[in-house]
Amino acid sequence: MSPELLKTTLTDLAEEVGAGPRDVDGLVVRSWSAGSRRRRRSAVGRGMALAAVLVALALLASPLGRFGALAPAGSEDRADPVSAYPQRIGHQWFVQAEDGRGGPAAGLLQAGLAWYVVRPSGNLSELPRSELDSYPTLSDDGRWLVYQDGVGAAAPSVVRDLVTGARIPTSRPVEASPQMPAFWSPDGRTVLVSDQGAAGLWSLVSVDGTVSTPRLGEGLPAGWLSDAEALVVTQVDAPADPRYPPGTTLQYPRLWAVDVRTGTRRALPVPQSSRPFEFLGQYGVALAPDRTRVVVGLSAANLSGGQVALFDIASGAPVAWPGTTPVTPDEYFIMVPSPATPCGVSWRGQDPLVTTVRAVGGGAYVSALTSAYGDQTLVAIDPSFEQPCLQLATSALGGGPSWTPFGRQTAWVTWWWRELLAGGLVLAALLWLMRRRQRRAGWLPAQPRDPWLQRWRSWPQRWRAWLRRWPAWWRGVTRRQRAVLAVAGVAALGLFGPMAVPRLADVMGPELGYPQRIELNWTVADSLPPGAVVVGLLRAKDDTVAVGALDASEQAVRLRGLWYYVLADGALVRALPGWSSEHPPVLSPSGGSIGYPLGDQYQAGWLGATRTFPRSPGTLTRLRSPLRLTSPPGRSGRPTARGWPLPALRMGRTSSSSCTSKAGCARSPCRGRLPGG
Amino acid sequence: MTGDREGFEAFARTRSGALLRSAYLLTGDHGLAEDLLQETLVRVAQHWARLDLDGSPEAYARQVLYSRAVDSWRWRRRRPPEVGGAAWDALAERRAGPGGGDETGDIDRRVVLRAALARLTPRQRAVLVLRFFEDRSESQTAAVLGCSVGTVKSQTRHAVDRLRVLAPELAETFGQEVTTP
Repeated sequence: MSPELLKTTLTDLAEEVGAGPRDVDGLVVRSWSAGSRRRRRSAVGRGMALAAVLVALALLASPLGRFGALAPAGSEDRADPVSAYPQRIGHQWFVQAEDGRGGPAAGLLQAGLAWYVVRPSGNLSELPRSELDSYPTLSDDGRWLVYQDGVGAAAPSVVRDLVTGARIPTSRPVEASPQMPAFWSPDGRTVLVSDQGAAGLWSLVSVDGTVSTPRLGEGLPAGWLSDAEALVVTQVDAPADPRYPPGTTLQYPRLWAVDVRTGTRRALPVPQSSRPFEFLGQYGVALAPDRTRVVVGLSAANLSGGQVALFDIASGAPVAWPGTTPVTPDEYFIMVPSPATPCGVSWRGQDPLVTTVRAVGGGAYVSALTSAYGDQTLVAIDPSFEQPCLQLATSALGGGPSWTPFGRQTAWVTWWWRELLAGGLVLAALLWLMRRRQRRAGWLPAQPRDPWLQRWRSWPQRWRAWLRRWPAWWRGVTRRQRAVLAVAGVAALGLFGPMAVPRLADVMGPELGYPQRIELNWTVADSLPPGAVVVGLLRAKDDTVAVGALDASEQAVRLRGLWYYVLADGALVRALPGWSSEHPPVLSPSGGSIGYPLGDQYQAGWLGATRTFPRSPGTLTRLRSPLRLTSPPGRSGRPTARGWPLPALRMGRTSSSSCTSKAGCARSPCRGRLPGG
Repeated sequence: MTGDREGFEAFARTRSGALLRSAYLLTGDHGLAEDLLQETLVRVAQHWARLDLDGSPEAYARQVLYSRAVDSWRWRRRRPPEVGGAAWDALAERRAGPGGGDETGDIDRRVVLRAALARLTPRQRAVLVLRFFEDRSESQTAAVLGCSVGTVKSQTRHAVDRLRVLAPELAETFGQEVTTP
């Protein structure tokens, strides 16, 4: 048979389908509708891809990209002092080694044995990990960095110019001592570093690499009073003091101005402290950037929340702390608001800043750089950094905070939003690809024949129609695709589950608002639960009648004249007896510490860990911080959800309240009577 | 947009019959052929604005039809169900039955050819349909399938050889002259 016969046979075979499709009209309508949808999807996809590219480019060029400035190393445009600091420091999956090409730094962050250079955008680059507990130091302008370059114990200290990226070779090796800070001179040209190989265990390294030996004499340096004089601190042991627990190491500081070239030593006025200090270590004394004040006692405060005092260097007189921080009766000691990590101090003007760790419940902690005499948080640090220590350059703190998403928010989702977004995008892309494969395989959802009706269907109908398609789509998913989905789900659970599940309660952050309603017919706890945040104090007036107020043992509670801690959700916790309504207790703005008179003594400290101080007659009237319902910075004191909003606090059947703060009552729904007006 | 739709509907109504016949030869099943035709028309509708300007919707539809018929087997990761098996089985039963050899000449040639086509690969089937049903030249077939002329020649030779093995009853139909058109 010839090809013509084969063609005839094929033609006869093709004629079995007849003249055309069985439902031409429906086929044409469906095809046009599906083609239009594909056209729209394709246009949307191209638009999204273009938007993604633009966003990626914007991220690369912005601080969000965490790649720092794009100016090349050595650019003179970056020679100006750093003028911004990050509001938050989050985790990074990929941390580059510091190579000096990122421009001036805003500060240094220590986490474990690692030290990171912090750029104003929050980008981190890691310094070489030393076997010693090294202590890199940044100059006040953020340009010069001295650190131990190498992992060995004998790795030398080097100076790096963060503007040019140059590593300055020193004229002789400098072997830093562990846990010893370095001090940059006011002009930023010389750094005083510890040196185990030098005669006096200290060396002067200038930015041109010249190493010389200073003549410091006895004592530990604490900073520079001028470009030639260093502040040196010596400790004088103090006798035992009944105000401190037995066995406490007590010391008084002595300050000296030492000319580092000639060794001339000049005694400075003795700080007129009314009490000795606990163990003044190498971090115990810090010099303010204006060289007029010195803060003493930070070592003990860092470790145990002890007291800190501020002195004027010229006269030795104590300087009263500004703000509303509760102070001890002699006015010159403050309580660090929350436990701080053992590291140095940053200065914002004359405001010393320390790195603190605060429990937020659920086993989670929040690290932050906070003011030592206030509760203002400047930088929030990712909880994944264990026991972080953050020090920022003075010029960085003198500028403003750089913009970052979520600012200083510390909720869990604010630290992991990138991962959540990426996971969501990957999952959406996976579902889109699978559905696309199904479409290409020939599965097309049933569509209404009239496209006009389809266009004008209401959104609920569209949503229901979309939901109806998924079972059919799922039936079309092959076993292999289901297995891929299952593996992806298990991987996502394994990755995010351990992090998300224990902290679901913390996703929205700790509840730090104030209650709109306080009732005493709830169970009154006898002690503060762990991680509780006290937002206020409440005193039941003498004519208060309790209705159903029970303690933990279901015993009726006598409420008259008693004080209670008020938690954010309105729950009450019975406070210690003996507080006076004449001299009420004082709560710190964060609710973390409290001070109150008790008999002839004065109690002050963190809630649940107070310490006793002797009461000085006449000093209580000078307490400056009134009771108030507070919220931390960044939160506008929103009311909590528990309870119905009422125009007045109601206590039992014959309601009575004690509201002792004009400011607190102005911010809260409280309408109670104000003392004194 | 209304003009585009009207143009597409006119094209689809006039050409769907011819496209369906080619699709039937490529798939061997009426339902699969309609699915393939619908997918082809959807792709044409998706790009109708451009095709209408170019004036070549027919060529694009043919290209989509054949490429989808060939590629679908590849990305589905499984061979599509072979149609015509029942006819092939019936043919075998007739052969095995009494006097089967005598009845071979009476079997409808179309049934045998459909069963044999179903045993070919999609690409071989596409080459045969293009070459002998649509009378395309080797270069035109290569253009539609997106392959070289040499590939078309080799695929044609392999398809005919395979048909000769699968259906020796049609050997005289193919003949040597088929392989050298």
